Amino acid sequence: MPGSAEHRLVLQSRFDEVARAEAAVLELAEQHGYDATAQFAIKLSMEEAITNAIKHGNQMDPAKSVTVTYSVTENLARITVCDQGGGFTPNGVPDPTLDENLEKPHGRGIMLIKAYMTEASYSDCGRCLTMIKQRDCRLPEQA
Amino acid sequence: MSAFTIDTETRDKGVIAHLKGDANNQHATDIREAFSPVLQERVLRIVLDLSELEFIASIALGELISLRHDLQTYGGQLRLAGANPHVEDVFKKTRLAELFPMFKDPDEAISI
Repeated sequence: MPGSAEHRLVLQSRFDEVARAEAAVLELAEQHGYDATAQFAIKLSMEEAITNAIKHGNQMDPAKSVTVTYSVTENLARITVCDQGGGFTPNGVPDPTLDENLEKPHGRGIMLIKAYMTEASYSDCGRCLTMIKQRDCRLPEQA
Repeated sequence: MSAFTIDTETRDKGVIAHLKGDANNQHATDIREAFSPVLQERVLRIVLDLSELEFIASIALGELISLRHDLQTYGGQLRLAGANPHVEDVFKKTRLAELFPMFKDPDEAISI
């Protein structure tokens, strides 16, 4: 089955690069039969992760790149986004769903990733984010 | 990826804006530009028709929050209508559904 291997894309620190990475992963997800809800979740999470990497990680520095490593199997999509910035402390980001933050226009990216992916974990001092989308199990039909 | 477009339509009670395609982070600032003339005219009610909006990301959400804030400074209202289940779910998960009144269709939203 195509797509089970690990792939790698190196993106420039520009927002118009995000769609290229999303399209590559979603093509594999489509091939493996991920439904529209799962594909929306993957796209939204990649959008937020790569945007953060470009904007907050690399500070839009054209000399820095974002590396996206991904694999998609029938049951699981794994995507790692790494930037070349100074790193950050994910736990220091305020919860945008608290009453006092609800009307703030920024700060929802990480929350959305956590809400839409099965797992999301940071490494390399916050420079890398690995996201996993577990596909809903398809049980064998009863005889 | 579907191109993001905004087409506005003036009605008696306000403006209906039809958002189509992907409101991704690259094109989110289009929202601010599209509504700048509407805000200058101090339109009291803006309804966003989301029925053909396929995707929305965080920066676009932030633009909608800012638009709502700008409208409120002179007593205006921002309403949403016709969001598909995926887009509606984003508003629910972020709790922004509590800030934006959501209607089934734009005609209902503009008239009530």
